[in-house]
Amino acid sequence: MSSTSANDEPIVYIVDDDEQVRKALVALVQAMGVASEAYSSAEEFLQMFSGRRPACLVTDVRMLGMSGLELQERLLQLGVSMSVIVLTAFATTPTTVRAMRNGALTLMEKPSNDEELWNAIRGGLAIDRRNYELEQQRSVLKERLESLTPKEKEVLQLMIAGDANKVIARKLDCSIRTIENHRQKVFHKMEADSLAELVRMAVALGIVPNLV
Amino acid sequence: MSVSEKNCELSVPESDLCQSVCFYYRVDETGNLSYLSPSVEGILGFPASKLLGKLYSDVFDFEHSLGSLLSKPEHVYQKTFTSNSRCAVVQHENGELVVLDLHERPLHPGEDNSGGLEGVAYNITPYVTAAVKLSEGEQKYRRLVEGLGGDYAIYTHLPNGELTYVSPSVKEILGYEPREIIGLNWRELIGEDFVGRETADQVLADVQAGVRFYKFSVEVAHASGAKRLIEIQQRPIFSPDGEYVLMEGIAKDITETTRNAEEIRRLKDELEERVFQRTRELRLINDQLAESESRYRSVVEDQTEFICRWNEGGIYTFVNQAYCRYMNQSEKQLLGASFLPNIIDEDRSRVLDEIAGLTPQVPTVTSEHRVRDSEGNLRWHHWTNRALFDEDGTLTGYQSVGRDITDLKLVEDLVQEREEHLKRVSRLATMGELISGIAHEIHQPLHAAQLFAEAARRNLEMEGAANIATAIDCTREITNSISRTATIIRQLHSFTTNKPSKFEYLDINEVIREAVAILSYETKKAGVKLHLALQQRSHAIYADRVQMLQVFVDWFRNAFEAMSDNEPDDKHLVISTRYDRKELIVELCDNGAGTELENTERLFDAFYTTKPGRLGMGLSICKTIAETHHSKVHARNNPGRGMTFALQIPVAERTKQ
Repeated sequence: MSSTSANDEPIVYIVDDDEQVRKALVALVQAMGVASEAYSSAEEFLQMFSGRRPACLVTDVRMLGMSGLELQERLLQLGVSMSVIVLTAFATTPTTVRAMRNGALTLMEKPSNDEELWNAIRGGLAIDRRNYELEQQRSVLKERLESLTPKEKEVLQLMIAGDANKVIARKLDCSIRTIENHRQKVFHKMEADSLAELVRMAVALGIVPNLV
Repeated sequence: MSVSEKNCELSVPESDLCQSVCFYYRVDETGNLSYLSPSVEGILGFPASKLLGKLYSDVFDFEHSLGSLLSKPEHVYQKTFTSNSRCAVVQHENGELVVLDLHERPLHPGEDNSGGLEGVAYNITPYVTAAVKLSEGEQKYRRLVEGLGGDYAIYTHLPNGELTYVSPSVKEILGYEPREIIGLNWRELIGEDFVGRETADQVLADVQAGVRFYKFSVEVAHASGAKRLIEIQQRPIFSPDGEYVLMEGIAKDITETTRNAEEIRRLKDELEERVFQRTRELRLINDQLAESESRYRSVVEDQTEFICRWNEGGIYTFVNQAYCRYMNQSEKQLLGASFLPNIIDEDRSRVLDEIAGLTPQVPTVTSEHRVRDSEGNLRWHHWTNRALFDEDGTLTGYQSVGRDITDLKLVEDLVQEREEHLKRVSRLATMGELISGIAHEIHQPLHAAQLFAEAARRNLEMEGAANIATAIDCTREITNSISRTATIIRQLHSFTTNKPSKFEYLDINEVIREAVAILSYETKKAGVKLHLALQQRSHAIYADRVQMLQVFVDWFRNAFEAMSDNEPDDKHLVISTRYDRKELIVELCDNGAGTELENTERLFDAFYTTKPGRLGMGLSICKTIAETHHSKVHARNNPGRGMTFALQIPVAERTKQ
């Protein structure tokens, strides 16, 4: 467990109550050249979880204590997202539905087909790496957004709605000059070079244009 | 009679009797004795002079009772004396009484007297004495006769049959008063068809023919009309001139006696008949017994136990006929041969081991093994083998008693088969409940193996020494995983096997661990903490491994269930073993809910269950299994919490190598 909060290195979390299976998964992941952490129970994993990094969780369904599906739900509650691969000895429809609804990347019967798990883990890592990057970007944008004053936020709203400075000034009952200053500050704080980029950032942040 | 009552003593001077039979006397007209012949002195003891002049009536007592005796007509001596005489009694000089018979005649006055009388006095004292004596005898006799009682009566009758005397006792015999039948002809008392009638009719003819004594039995009519059987003894009395004048006899009632005798004879006859019958029955029973004995003997001879003696190496030194017959070989053929080759290979070494274990302290062992008979068929034998030792404890040979128990085995086998079937069904049911957990258990190592295989391949693809080393490690793990899978499957298989039960020497610790392994997933799922407290010094038990497993698996699962309501971290099951003399005790102690049953042994009853949807066969099968193993199972509530199940199984005599 060498992870720190600032660690961007992808990792595969392995949660299985069978020691031999854990060892095997670790060996497989090691062959991928990817870091891994193995836990014998969901509880142990949650206790040791140290923060978001690009990750793929490989968990068994039937375990002592918390099951793999419960773990999945717990992570959703905590707002922790990562790729999840659910392994099960017997895939039943209810188990499958529940796992997929919880956002599992895939549910595999074990023993799995050759390469299937390998590919799934790699796929899961790739997806989460992208998700992680998006998340990272979004949090940067969010920080930038938080640095805006309320007035500037209002101006941003109207800017991405496509209003001209004149219209904004009239709507906010300010001088055009004042609006222009705000605009400058918004571009600066959001580190955007163009209105188009600013709009893209707003979409990424989920800011819906306020179409009054 | 008055004579004896007055106590008069009569005596006659014997010497004088002949010459002094009488004297002459004369009495004058005044009544005085005027003359007495001198012979008077011989009779009365007084000289004549002494009596002369005395009053005649003073000397002669005519009123004396002795005199009156003579007047009785029935007396025999009556005939001797004429009736014109009279009796007088005179006192002798010595005081004794003398009875005189006086024959007198009056003297007519004139000549030389003046009237009066003269007479001759005969001394009849001896006759009177005799008569009195006779009378006394008769009195005695009469008293005797009259006093006769019971069955005897005395009678007399005339030749014509007319009864002249019957003793009063006749009343008791025939119901008549004597006076009622005196004067009757006795023949009238005998009916025409009565027994003895002919004899009675014969009597007269017989008397005339000279028969002098009769004894016969005759039936006589009783006053009531009943018949009495009378025994008659009679004797005819003849007059001096030989004329038959009287019959006197004794009648004895022998009805009762005869009846008794007949009864006795009848009883005796009956008894004899009964004895005869019993004897016949006994003989019959004896015959039957003999028959069944001979049949039994033939059965015994055919089926009896085999007896043989033999030396080391199984060489027969003695064989009984039964064994010869069974073996279909002669004694000669068997002696010198060995039985060991007959025992099938699978059983032979065990039998040899059993025999080798015999000591003077433990000289006998029973053995059941299979033997090929002369036709090559497999037969089960049961033998009790005894090693014979001499005083020094040296082995001198063996003696064995045995029998063919094949048929018994067949039945036993059938029962056992059913039991085995039930046990197996129960195991399968348990297995059904365990199966998803066990599948998980199987999948784990399989899954691991597959992952290791892929990891190995990836590493090999990457080349480089480190990767190859990792790949090699992976293959090692693959082997482990496969072994683990194989182990689980083997356990599974053996647990559900349909194979006949197989007893072998087992290490109880291994069995317990195996049960723990089978239940590993269940244990995990139930969250139970197992504590094994097993004795390291492990004696072997002789048992069927699968059945032992079945018991433990069942108990474990019971315990898990009992603890299901415990707090998650408070589920403890302690499995311990200990030895108590020759027994091994395995205890499973949980801290679960226990049972509310007062009688915890009821848990082992078939169909007793507290769990809905269960048959309740599990624990009852455990009990059956224990019984098969000469073991006992107990269940008890712990003093604090939970229950303890215990298995008490004998330690195998032979410790495991």
